[in-house]
Amino acid sequence: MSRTFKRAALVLVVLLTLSVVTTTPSRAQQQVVLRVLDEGPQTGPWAKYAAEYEKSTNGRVKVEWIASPWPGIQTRLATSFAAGDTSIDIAKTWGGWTVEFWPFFQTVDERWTAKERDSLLPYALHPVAAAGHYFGTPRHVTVYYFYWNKKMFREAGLDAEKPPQTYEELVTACKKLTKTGADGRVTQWGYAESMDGGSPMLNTFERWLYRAGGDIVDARGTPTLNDRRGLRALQVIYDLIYTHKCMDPGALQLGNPATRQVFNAGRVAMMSMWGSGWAEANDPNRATKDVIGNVGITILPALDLSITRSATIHGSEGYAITKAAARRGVADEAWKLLQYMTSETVQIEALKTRGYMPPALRLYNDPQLKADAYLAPLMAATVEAGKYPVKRFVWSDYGRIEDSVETELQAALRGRKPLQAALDSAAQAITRILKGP
Amino acid sequence: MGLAGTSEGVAQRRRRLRLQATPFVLLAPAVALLIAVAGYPLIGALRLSVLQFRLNTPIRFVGLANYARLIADPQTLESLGITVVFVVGSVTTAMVLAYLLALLLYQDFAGRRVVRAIVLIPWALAPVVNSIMWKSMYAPNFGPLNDILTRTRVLAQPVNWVIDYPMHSLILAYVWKVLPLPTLIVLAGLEGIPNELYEAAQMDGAGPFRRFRLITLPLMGTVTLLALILMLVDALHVFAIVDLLTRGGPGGRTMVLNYTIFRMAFRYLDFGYAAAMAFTLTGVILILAYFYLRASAEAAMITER
Amino acid sequence: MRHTARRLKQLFVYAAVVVVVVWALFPVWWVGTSSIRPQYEIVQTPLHYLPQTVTTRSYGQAFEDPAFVRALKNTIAVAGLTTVLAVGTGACAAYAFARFTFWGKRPLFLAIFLLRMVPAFTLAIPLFVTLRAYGLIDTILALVLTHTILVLPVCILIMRTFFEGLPVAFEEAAMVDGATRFQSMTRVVLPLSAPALVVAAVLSMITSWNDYLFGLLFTLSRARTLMVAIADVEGAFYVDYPLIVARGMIGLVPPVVAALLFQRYLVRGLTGGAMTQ
Repeated sequence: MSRTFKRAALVLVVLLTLSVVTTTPSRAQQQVVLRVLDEGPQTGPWAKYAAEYEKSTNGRVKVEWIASPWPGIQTRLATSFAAGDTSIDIAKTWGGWTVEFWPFFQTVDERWTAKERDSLLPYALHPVAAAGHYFGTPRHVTVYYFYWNKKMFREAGLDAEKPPQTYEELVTACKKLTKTGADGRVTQWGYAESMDGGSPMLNTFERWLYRAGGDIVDARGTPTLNDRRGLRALQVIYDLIYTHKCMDPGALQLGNPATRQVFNAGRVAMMSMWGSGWAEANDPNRATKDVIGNVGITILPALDLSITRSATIHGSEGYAITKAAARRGVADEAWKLLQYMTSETVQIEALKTRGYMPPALRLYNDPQLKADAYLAPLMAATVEAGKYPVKRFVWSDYGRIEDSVETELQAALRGRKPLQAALDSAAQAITRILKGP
Repeated sequence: MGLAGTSEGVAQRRRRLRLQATPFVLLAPAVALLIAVAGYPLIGALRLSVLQFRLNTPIRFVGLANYARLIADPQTLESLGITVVFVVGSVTTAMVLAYLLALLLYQDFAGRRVVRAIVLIPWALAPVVNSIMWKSMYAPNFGPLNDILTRTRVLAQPVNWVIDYPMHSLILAYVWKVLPLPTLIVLAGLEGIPNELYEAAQMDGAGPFRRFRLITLPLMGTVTLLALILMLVDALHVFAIVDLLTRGGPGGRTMVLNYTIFRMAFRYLDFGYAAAMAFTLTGVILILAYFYLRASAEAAMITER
Repeated sequence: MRHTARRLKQLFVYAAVVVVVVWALFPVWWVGTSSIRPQYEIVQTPLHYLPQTVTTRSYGQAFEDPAFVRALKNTIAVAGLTTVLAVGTGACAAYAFARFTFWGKRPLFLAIFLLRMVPAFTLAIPLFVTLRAYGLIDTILALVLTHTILVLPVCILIMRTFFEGLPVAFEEAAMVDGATRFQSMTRVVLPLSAPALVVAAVLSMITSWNDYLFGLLFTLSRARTLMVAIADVEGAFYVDYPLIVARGMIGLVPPVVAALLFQRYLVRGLTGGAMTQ
């Protein structure tokens, strides 16, 4: 018995020593510490450049990178602000969070000149704009594109250089591209859109809704998603799954990464996806050799050419400076860091390595970038998408609205509720939420 | 008492005092910790629940308005019902499986030590990885579960587990992870029963089932209770698997109370209301637990030596 | 006749063992293969249960990330300190409950236990506010304190059960020989209670190791724990599953090793001492 005791005691002593050693705090210096809340360094080049900036200041500025998965950023910000915490100086944000958190962000209106603002893509500043003010800098821009597998097109007897431009063409191609195996199970789906809970479901609906000429709410906040345009949009999605049977019902369970995975593995012929789909479909670590080099990218097909040729949503993100940083007197330093972190150099690297589009308009006309075989299709598609509506629904109490709409849409798409009834319930929910408790 | 004034009397009184002080001294650190880190925030949470604390509105005292809203909201009852279903389903399944597994691990067979160790692995797995794992297992077209079931013709078509059977999927994923805990406790109880009792019964001609019914079950009272309580508490605290597998389920079908509270606080930023919800849940748990413990403490005392 | 019955029973037992091992290991092995496969192989029909291309790239990547390594160290520290604190204070409290009768004993024990049943979220925001007020956000200490609260009631329960099973005779003998109550506890009872202490320690360690919520809410970058850090590489537009799973597999090792090492006592330590002597 005592031998075990001794063994256990030894282990504990080792643990204690280890813990003491690892928790010795670093020597505090006379320096400015900036804490950035963002995704991990693996998701993009920004952390790398922040570290570079830190080095360039020769120890005057220290940058602490707080890595968190995307939903964790919101949790972190909410907890922080609710408790009056001051640990975060710069936070990654998008339109939905800025609408919620802007009272805790620092306005930077005076730091932007009108000329600088006009040098950006119009929707690039959306993530850091609210209540008539700006709160930071853009980080990246991305929209939803349409991808197709050229090899599969050729195998199905379709023109690999002519992706569907309308809904009718999409359905025709989709049906030809859905293949069934000997056991009756589908081995290749024609089309995929991600619809797993929360954002993807609402976003998928948004994309078709905008192409139908509709909107979630009107300017006064009255829901319009259940009008005949909303019904048309929802019907499209429903038909693709159940009537034309060329979209996997399992897509209701697939989020964006999973949908990309399926496309990269060569299991689906066409998909709608963010720009990151382009980076991944050309990455030998992620895509099979049948997919690499065989992917085309373009704008989303029209629902009805008489309404609009295309429309899409944007997922732009930015960095916001917090009021806590301003109170500590480090807002200027934070701004300098952000300028460095989001310079055109960084934008180009993010573009090349991850498929994030740059906010700077100038880069879309840059001859070098346009000549790059890998980047050209992506940039051309972005420019083209910019000719048509590029929107994103954000509103106060966004989380509640998103969850209610998602519940109803999912119920409808699982066949548990008639489409119009689901849309009406969603509209009622929005009205209730906007009225407040 | 006649020694009152003498030195012996003084020493005796001192000893009695020390005897009386000792338990409190021993308890002090644990109780201090609990009060500081759990009790004090609990009161803070109570305070939160009578406020309207939403992120962008001024903080107002609203008395019992949050609680009234809670009672009026149909989602509360729904969430409560879902929680009951989840807890009853998972605890029952886990206890039954734990008993079977413990009985198996109690048997003598080669490599028993290794198997006992292997059984612990699900418990040690990170919640995040557990959720990725089950999401992958349940995937309709690319998951092993559907693959095996369709290849062996148990299923004709792949089933969309998480979408169509969210509660079942959740319970299975949860039970899989948490099973080692009650299994170990039950196994410990089994090993605590002296062999002589079984041998005596066998000599009296009792078969395995009778031995189980008349010896094992009665003596396992405390152990079963312990396992049950631990499982109940753990099931009520379930979070990671819900957050990462169903996120409240398709259409809110797996919104257990704990997760509803999380949503309310950290996604909808309605902290006052979330605190009221949390307190109600706490209250319900405490009341149930109190009665349950009281009832079974008496039962346990009867079945104990 | 009895031979066949016994053989049949052995067969049944071995078959059940196989089922159990598959049940416990198959999902882990399945997800584990994701960490050594290229990402496009994870999604395929028909399913290939053995990886066709093996790459250990993700494991290398995992250790290259300084934030991950620091999270690993942090979690070891937190789990270790929590175990020491919980078992230490818990053993004292359990001894008090087992050996003494005093005013308020039953309600106090009940209260401790009921406190454990409070959902963590009830405490989260107020705890955050308190921790912030004391400057404890993103510190190891905050995690140790909060984790201890999670495991303390269970530790007390386990050790109290064990102490109650120990015959008082041993301590009385020691006290007759002149030892104080405290000395009899440390020199007689604790050594005999090694199994229970080990159980409480392993339980504390694994609970602390597996904690996700408090790590998520109370840490930023310096005190980040492993369970939270595993998912930190996930982006909204970029997810590397093999990397996440590789990090998860690495995080699986220490608690499994701990459980394996002390597995013998896990079973013994959960019952009263007298019965297993």
